[in-house]
Amino acid sequence: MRTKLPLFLCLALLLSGIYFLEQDILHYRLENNYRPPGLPLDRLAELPVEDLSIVTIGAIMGGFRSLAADILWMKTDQYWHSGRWFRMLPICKAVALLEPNFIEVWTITGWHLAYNMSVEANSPEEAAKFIRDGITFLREGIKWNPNRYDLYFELGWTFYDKLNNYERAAEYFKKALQFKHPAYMERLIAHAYERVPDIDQALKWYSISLRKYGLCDLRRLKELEEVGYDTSGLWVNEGPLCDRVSVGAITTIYQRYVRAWRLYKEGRYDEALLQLKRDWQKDDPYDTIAMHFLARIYEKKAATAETEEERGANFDLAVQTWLDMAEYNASDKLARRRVIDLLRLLGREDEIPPTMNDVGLPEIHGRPRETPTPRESESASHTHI
Amino acid sequence: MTTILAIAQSTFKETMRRRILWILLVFGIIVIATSQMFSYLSVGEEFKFIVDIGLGSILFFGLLIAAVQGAFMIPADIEGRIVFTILSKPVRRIEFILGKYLGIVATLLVNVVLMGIAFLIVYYFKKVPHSIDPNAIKAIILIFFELCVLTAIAVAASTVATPAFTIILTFFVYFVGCMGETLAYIGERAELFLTRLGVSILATLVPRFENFDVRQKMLLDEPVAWIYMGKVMGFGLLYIAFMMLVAYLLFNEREF
Repeated sequence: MRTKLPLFLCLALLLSGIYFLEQDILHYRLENNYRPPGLPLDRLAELPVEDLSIVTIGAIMGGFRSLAADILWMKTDQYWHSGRWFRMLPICKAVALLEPNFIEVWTITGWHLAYNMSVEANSPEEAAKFIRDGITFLREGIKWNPNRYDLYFELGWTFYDKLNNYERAAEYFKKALQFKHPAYMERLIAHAYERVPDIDQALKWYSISLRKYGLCDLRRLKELEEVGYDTSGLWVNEGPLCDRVSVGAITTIYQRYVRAWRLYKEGRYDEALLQLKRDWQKDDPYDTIAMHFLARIYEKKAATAETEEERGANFDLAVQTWLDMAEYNASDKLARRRVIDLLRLLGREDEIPPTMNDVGLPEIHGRPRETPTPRESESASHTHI
Repeated sequence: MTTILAIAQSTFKETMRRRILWILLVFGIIVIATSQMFSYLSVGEEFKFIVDIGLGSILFFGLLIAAVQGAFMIPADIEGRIVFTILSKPVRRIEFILGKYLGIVATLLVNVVLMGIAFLIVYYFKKVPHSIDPNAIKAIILIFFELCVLTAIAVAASTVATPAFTIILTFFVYFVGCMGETLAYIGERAELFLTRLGVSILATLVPRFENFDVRQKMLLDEPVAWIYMGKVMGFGLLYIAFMMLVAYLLFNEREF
């Protein structure tokens, strides 16, 4: 036994070295984002019971967890192509639980819910629920991947494109800017503000983009000078990332909306209306930005009206403008939402046209079920997201 | 040292002669090479699949080789009475064990390098513009160290156990080692003192194999720091030294 004592001492020494080095590695992993794929166990309590089995399987799979997630993901692809969309969803969720840093799981499932499932819905309420589920799924993905632009962009894009909620969209696009992002992100914020419309913010973000990525062609500087845009600080970028969009957008904004916008900001709404109609209506009577702007001017006029009669008349004009836009462009969900909101505000809910909802799904789509399921009736109280 | 190298060399030659090794190797390379068939998926997914299948195959086939070779090498010598011939010469038992271990590690190295090259070729041609992410090479290096640790465990177990038991034990240790976080979690929260103690001892003795996994960094497209590589490789070497010493203590007890 005595002869083995040095060996046992060596073992103890090695074991303590292993222990301390392992603790050091664990701290390093936590501090430097090396933690293994999968859910941290301290978040188990937040999960529904049915998800625990997936987390357990993931933990047992160890180094082969990613392969398991890949195989399941291929299964979702198979379901997708065979039209079994509802079967896809639990598997997508399982893949997300197995590998929360697999960005495509979040983006594709979020898109699938908000875009495909919502269109397959039997009623606008059900469609709204699917869009809400898609948004929730993307938000969950952000919790796991807060330091990447991708999911902020996806969420912003769902608000922008699917719901036409441009202010919320701009909010998420701005969050995406904190991380490595594509060059179009600043312009996308400008596009969103343009459609609200918030002309000052739109110009601000086009200017940020133009100054960050540079003009593609020096000759276009003249176009900007001609409309009165301040060109100081602009530069020419000969690389592929130069901004090809903002010059055109800025000149159009200056030509069509800036004069009316200035009057609007000064509270000179009648003059703003005249100016706006003069500047845009001759070329493009159903310009989305201009129609939204027009409706906003009527809303503002109604809000600041001195008499009830004037207030009512301007609200009517605002509702009619939004309604015109909603009927002209069925995918303009902002116009639909404003019609609903304004009529509710005025206590004239019975006047909301039956086809009007803010998810762009006509009532006649699909076959409305006679008895809604409990989950449907929960969401049936409102379609706003 | 010459003795260790001589035993290692003969072990290496012996393992390379085994047909099962080549079957595993060829199968591994085929799996890696066919991972590019996922081109029907989106670019991000396809790339992830190539990395997962490539690194997963190196780990899986490496694990099979480590467990099988580690389990059979010493018992086969004992069964075939070769060990008597070797130990009757001026060869110490520790030299015999180290030689056997290094021979298997050399075999593993050949396998990991060949499968790694297959993976890197697929990776290179899929990446646009064509390039090789240094993280991919670092991930392969860490998988190799992970397999070396598992081989050390298999060799230590094989000095006293049957090959079948050693293979089962090696896989068991691997899966328990992958659940390091779970063990720590249970260890911290268990109500019974004995449970806490038992789980803590298990968590300390079994290496946390998740430390060798840097795929998270590859997914996030962030570089794997050399300091981290150094720490993990250092940990691997310490653990191998520990297991070799355990193997020696167990083997020393045996009478031939």
